[in-house]
Amino acid sequence: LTDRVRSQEDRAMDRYAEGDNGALSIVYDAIAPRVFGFLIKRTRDEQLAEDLLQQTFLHIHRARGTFIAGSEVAPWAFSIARRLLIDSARASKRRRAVLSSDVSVDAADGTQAIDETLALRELGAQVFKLLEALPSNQREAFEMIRLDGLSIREAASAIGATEASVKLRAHRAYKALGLSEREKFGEKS
Amino acid sequence: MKSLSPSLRDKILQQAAGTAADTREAASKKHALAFVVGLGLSFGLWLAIGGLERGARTPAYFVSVYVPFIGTTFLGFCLALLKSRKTEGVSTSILWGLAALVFAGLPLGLLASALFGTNAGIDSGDRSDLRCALIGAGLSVPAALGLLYVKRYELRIRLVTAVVPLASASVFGALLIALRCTCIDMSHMLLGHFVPGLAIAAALLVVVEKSTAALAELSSK
Repeated sequence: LTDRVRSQEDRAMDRYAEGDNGALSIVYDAIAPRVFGFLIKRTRDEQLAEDLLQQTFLHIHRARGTFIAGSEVAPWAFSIARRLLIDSARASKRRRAVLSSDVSVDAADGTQAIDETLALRELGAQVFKLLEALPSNQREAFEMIRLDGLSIREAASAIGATEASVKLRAHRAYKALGLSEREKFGEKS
Repeated sequence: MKSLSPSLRDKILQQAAGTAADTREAASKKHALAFVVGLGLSFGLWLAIGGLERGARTPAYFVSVYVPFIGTTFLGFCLALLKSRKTEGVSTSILWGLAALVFAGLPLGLLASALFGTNAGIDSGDRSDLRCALIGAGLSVPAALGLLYVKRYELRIRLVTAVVPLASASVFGALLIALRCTCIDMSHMLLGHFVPGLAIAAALLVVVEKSTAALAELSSK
């Protein structure tokens, strides 16, 4: 990637790796909301998600010297957050709470009518059940692309799989969930 | 969607400011040092136990068997230290493929030995499978630790990153013991030189997995 097409946070991370300490705030402002969204959808625990976000940035900070010049910071941050999430779930012996969608969060805001909220919760529970029934690798690919808004390339990097593999997993997940072709991939790549 | 609090932002940035972290230049220097020290220790131990033992092996045997072996070892180190275009590394399947490529050097060494060694009519030296296995495995450990240090941040995120460094270090250990051991019996080379490489790689992978899991447990408390 050339500097011309690289994002502001990627260039900021490059400067940070070179020793420009002030550049971390630019990286934070650009990717923290996305990573936090990714974490809170899975933990459904604001405190835990904040804690994991903090650990993610601490890892980015400590490992800044290994950031490869010209690479992208977002997939790296997601791969770190993903690992911390797995470690956290293992450590606490809890089942990973996969989250339905923004439905439950919106509903919790209390801005919708009770009937509509209940219907949405019911729908969320059904989606949750369907997602739970998927093989974990398919579910993960689906969630990252559809719920977290990662591109296939970013999801592949975060998971540590090839783009073709992630695309295939997501395709199978869509098929299993009965989603139409039109509803598929909100991908960017 | 929940939004992030400004206090969390300040907390994280302050925590980063108060925590030492190498810049790219400093990290590169440390990595080079760790790699050289690891390899140097393996090589130093090898020299300490006597280094090269030629036995009845001819120069032609050395060239035909060990030049490809050294080439494989060099390739392994290059692959272990190679940086991809992505900080988060290449895919798991590619990493396993690279490790398999490095390990392929061992059976290729055996094959070369079968083709050139036994046909050359060289007498086989003393044989001790266990001795060679232990020494070969031991010689690969410092090199492995040096490479794992270089990859430590990646390992914390993806354990599979360890497979190429471990494969490279175990092939290096196998090369050192093969240069020392004068026995060219095929079954000995398999048991004494090839198997230990695989065994030490597998054992170190388990150690790394356990230690990263323990670190994760600690950091989550």
